[in-house]
Formats: sequence, C-alpha cells, structure tokens
Amino acid sequence: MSGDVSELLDRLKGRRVLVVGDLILDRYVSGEVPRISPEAPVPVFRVRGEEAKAGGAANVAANVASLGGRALLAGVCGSDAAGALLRARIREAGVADAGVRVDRSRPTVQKTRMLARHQQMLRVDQEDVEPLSASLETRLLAWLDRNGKGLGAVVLSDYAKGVLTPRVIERACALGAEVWVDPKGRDFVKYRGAHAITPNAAEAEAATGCDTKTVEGCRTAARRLIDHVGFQHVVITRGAQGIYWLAADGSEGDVGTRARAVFDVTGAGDTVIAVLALARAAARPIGEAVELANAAAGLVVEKLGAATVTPAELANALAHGFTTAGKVTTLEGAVALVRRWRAEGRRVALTNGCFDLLHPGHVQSLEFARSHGDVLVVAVNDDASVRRAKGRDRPVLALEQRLRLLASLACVDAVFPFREDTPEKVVRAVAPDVLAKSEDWKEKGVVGREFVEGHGGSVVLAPMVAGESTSTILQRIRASRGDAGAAS
Amino acid sequence: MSGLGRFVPKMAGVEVGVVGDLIADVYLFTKPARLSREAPVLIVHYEREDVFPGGAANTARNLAELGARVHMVAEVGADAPGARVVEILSAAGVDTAPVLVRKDRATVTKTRILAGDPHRTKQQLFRIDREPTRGDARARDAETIARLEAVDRRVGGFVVSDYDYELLAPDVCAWLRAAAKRKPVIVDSRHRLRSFAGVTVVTPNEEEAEEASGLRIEQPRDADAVGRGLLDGLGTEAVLLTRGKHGMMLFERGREPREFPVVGMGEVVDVSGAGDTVVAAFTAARLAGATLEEAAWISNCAASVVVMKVGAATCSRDELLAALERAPLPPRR
Repeated sequence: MSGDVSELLDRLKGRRVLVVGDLILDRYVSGEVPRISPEAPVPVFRVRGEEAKAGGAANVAANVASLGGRALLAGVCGSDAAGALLRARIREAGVADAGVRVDRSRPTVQKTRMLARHQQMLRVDQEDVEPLSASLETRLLAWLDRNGKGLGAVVLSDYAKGVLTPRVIERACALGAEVWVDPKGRDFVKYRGAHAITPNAAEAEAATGCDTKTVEGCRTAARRLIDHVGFQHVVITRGAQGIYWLAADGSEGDVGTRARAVFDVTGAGDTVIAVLALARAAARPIGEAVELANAAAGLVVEKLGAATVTPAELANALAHGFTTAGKVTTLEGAVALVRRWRAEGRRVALTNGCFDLLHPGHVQSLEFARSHGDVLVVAVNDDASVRRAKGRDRPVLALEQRLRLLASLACVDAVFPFREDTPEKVVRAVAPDVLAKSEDWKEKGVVGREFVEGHGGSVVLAPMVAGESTSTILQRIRASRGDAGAAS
Repeated sequence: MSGLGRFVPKMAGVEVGVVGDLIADVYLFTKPARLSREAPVLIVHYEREDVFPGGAANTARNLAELGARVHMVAEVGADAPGARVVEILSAAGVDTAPVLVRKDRATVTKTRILAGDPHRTKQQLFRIDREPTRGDARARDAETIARLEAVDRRVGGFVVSDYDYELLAPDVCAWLRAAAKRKPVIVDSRHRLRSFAGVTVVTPNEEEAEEASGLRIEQPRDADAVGRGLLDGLGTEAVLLTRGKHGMMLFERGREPREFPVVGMGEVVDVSGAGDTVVAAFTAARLAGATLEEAAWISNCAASVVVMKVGAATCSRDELLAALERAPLPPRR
C-alpha cells in the first residue's frame, strides 16, 4: 500500500458513516458434549458459556466504530430480551443506536450457534422476514431525514429481514453521500441509485449469471452490474481468492487474500463494506480502500464469529505483511491458534528458549522441532527472564526483535513471549502433542515432561550443533575486539 | 369404595413438602431451513417452544394431580423457563412461595430441539443442558433450611427429589435426616443415595441402587442382595427398588422382600419421569394411611399409567382409580 499507513488510518477517524439495514443478534453458545441423550440418539450439549454479539448491519456499524469512524445505525429490533441485549451490544461497540426503532410485532432476529471445541454443531435462527409495516417504515424514513446530514458515506446492509424496503433504499440514496450496498438475493436492480455494491462471488454469479470463479468472469459480472444498474463501483469478495473491483471508468483491481488461517468467515463481508465506506468517507481512492478492506477482512476471518478489527491490528498487519505479523501473538492467542489447528487434525509442536542473536543452531533445532509436528509454536523468554538466566549483559536483542526474527522463519507458525523462569505454565496452557528441547536438557530434566506425556504427547530432544551458541558467538566478537576478558 | 382405591380420595387431604432440583424441560419446535454457509451444519428456524416442569417440579405436579397440597422448596434462576415452571406449578395448585428466585444462576434446563416440516412428526435433533457447575455446590444452605422449617409446620411428610444438581447441600440432607425421626421423608436420589441414611424410605432404580451398594444386578437374586444391603446400610424403614420392565421390589424391615410385577397391558412409550410418579404416588398413599406394601402397589399402578404417555407425564386420580380397579394388590404368597 502506498503512503503512510498510520496517516491513512488517522484520516478515517471521526468520519460519519450511516449504516441502514437488518440488525441481528449473533449468539454463540459454547459447551461440551459429554454423552448421548438417553431419550433419543442425539448428542447432549452441556452449556459452559454464552456470548452475544451485534451482527448484520450492527456488525457493519461496529466495524466502522472500531476503526475510529463515527457510526450511526438505523434498523429495527423486537421489544424482547434479545432486543435489549442487542442494543446494549450496539452501544458497547461505540455505535449510536438512536436510529434503532422497536417493532413490537416481530422478534429480534437471532442466530444461535452451538459450538463444541470451537466447532459448530447446530444453528437455530429466530426471525420474521416480513417487510416493515407502513407506520414503522414512515418512522424510519423520518429518522433518516432528520439525521442523514453531514454523512461521509452510507451503507445499506441487507440481510433480507425486511428493513430495506424500496422506499428506505430510495431515501438513503437521496441523502447525498455515496451509498455502498452489501446485497442479498439475486435482484440488484432494487438497489438502483446506490453508488456501489459489494456482492460475494456467489451472489454476483446468481445476479448476473456469469461464472465468477475467474477474474475474467468477475470482470464481466461487474461490468454488467455497472451497465445495467448504474453502479459506479462493483467490489466482488471472493473468499480465499481475495477481492476484485471494477469502476465505471474501466479501472480495476484484484487483490489476493491476506488471511493466514481462515477460521470463521462470518461477518467478513461486514468488515469489507465497513472499511470501504469509511475509506471512501475519508476520500480515499477506490484501490486504496479495497486494499485496506482486504487487509481488514484477512484479520477478521481469523477471529470467531462476526468480529471487528482495530486500527492497531490493521497497522501492524499492513506494516509487517501477513507472513510475519500474524505469527507474533500472546500465550492466549497461541492457545486459540492451537485449538484451531488441532481441530483441523494438525499435530502441534512447542519449544521455548531465549533465541538471542538468532543463529544456525537455533534454526536447526527449530526445524527439528517442526519436523515432529505439523505446526510449531515457540515461547520466547522476555528480557527480564533472559537476564535472570544468562546474565546482566543479555539479551543482546530485545524481545520485540527476537520475536520478529523468529516470526520470519518458515518453520515457525506462532511465537509469543513468556516471563516465567520455567515454561511449565506455557506447556500446560498449550498442551502440545510434541514438546521439543535441545539435548542438553536431557540431564537437567525437561520441564513439563510429565504433563505432556500424561496427555498422550511426547518429548523430543534436538541434537546440539557443536560450536553454535549465542555465548560462543559473543565470545568470538569480543575476542576479535580484544576484550574477551569482559565476556562472562 | 373397595380395595386400595379407598386411599385415593384421602390423598386430597394430605400436605407434602417437595424439596429438590427443579428442572425446566423445554421443547423447541423448529423447521429445518438449510445448511449454513459458516460451517457444514444444519440451520433450523425457530417456531415455538413449550416448557414443562421436570425433576422435583414434575414430582410436585404428580402429587398435585393426585390431590395433595404441595409446598415446593426449590430454586430457579431469574429467567423465562424458571418463571414458566413456577407459573405451571401454581396453576396446578402447588404452593410455590418457597421457590427461591436466584439472580446469580440460571434455571436448570434441558432443551430438546425438535425439527421437522409442518404436518410431519418432528424428530429430536439435539439436546442442550444448562446445569450448575460442580464448583457452585454449597457446603451450607441456611436459606433452604429456613424454607423447609417454615413448611415443616404444615406438612405430613417430605419428598426429596434429588437430581444431583446441588440444591441439597450437606446440611440440608442432615436436616432432612433429622426430620425423618418425626415424619416420613421419602427420597428419590440420583447418585447421592448414601447421603440419605436414616430417612424413611428410598426409591432407587436399579442403576442408582447399584451405584449406592457397589453391587451389580445381573440376576434376580442380585436385586434381592442389593435391596437388603441398602436397607441395612441406609437404615431406612423400607427400600422401594424400581426395576423397569421387571416391576418393583419392596424391602421392609423384619419382613421378606416382596416383588411386584409390571401391571397394565398398554404399550410402554416413554419411561421418562416414571420415577417421579412412583415417589409421588407412594408418598401420597402413605400419608393417606396406606401400608408400605399398599403404597408400593399404588405407585406401581400410577407408574403403569404414565409410561403410556409421552414426556414426563402425570397420573390423575381417575386414572389411578381405574388402574387399581383393573389390578388389585396380589395377596402375599
């Protein structure tokens, strides 16, 4: 991306984006499945925890707010407990909920997922998809007229739950700001008057009949939408293949996905349109807006459920590129990654150390560790614990630098710091399939061995490479400067 | 009125305290919609839900159905399923004033998700249990004891319906054991039978009896040994062992055990909640003046009625009268 990233992100701050559409309460019920029901051959799911998030148009608004934009939200919810919870979540996300009208005639739209070990087992939806009643529509239109001023952009987030009636769409398009549509269904003509539309590949294919698996197909589909409906921009989100965009003037772009591990695509489209609208509100060119949206989507699919990204996450991802930035994490982050990898059937190897002045001996032991698993997680001593273990003149490289170097290695999948003198806590939290240490730990005893072996894992010892250690490198450096006596 | 049927009208006069784990049995009716785009799982669309009293609440409802005046000592969360169960119990004439509404915890619920197109039999797809975690168990529970004491003045006996969810703290069990010296305390307990030594009667099923005695029931004489062992070990007046399709066995102090065969010729469609009916009918009969043997037979007949109904069901007085008419107590051999 051209230009300074943090400057670009700064420009997004405070831009007013109005989001109009279907509000959804996304519920995630997590639990375990200890047994089969005695009543019927079905699993018994024991609830352990519950989470509720603002979804649908509310998630778009939350994404706008999370990136520093000023998000206004208009839509309807029911006069029920779920509606109260949804409004609370909307406000917690920093979104103004004054435009949320209460409809006594319908339940709040809810999607409830049951998840065991981070895997979905069932989803129960509660909804009423009738179009708005005339009186409610009138109230919503009146609100739009009163509050739709001074906007940088408008998003129409259509989940086909009845809010986006022809009159609501028409009025939104008359507010004077660029209108971006995240569509539903195959009839995009109803969005005529909007500035741009962001269908996913399947939606674009259903609406135009073009095969959107290729860039050429996307181009044809986008061109058709521009010619027939009059959009200025068409942005097609293509899942693992990234994003394709075409402007009415014929300029186009195709950016590859930046996600490292796709965990949950729920809400990725919400993030994309939120970022696009916000970037456009900040008068950014379309190519830049798409790149930013793509980066944000890459981050959000690594999170559970409909999620948001912060400017810091986005800046980090854009500055370092995704090959390394996503690898540096925390113990909690690593545990989440490990859970996901394990659900995919991958064997997880863990090793730990100081990794001060990265050298071939380190690389060899890391590659050895990785060869015993499918993914490698590395726990790195923080500076204070390195000092305690190696002396006051260490580490030579600060924690951030050591993490950055390790993250750039192909054999390393995740790296995070720890502060304790032993990795016992880390081993217990990660619970690896393979715990790798260098051979010299054989006699000192491998911390966490009992735990790992008790959980069906194994401990492997990497052969040492003669003469390859940070201490010997430091000695050589000092000797060459003639101050070997100073080395400890 | 002849035979054991004579006790049925008398049940209307008895007052019983029911203490234990209240459960909301929820049935969620849904329509299968499609596969999710988020993950390869089914999406079902919510249509409506029904809530029924389960656990101790089902025992209470069974007692109320037989005419007993029930005082319910239990807990619910401050939520919709809990409120609905309390409402149903109140409508059935149960005194729910001693039901404590707790804000810090959810009602124990078992939610069955049933799915199917309209006009077709819906099929159970999934069950969701909300239970307290073991860590929530209390060592003491002065609140429940205070409620039991308030109820104690009015009732002729207590039924303990323990589904092992923790309402019954050790000091509550101790209070109930002490109460058994004054009035009948009949206990139906899952997994915790041994906490109730010294109560009046226990009504375990085979699995619970095996767990409490450490013995396995594989042959008929095993049941005999298990029942006798429990009677001695727990020091109760009697043990009523329910044995599913093998009927029930009554072990009384100083008498030979008695076996009661299953009665009724209808098809058994659902045994869930039959244990609740047994303990309810047995207690109502005892408080109405029946002997242990008579009460056991009455509960056997009541159970034969509910296993022919779907879901945790109840047996009405008329149904019980009819069942007793069809199947009089067989004479002791």
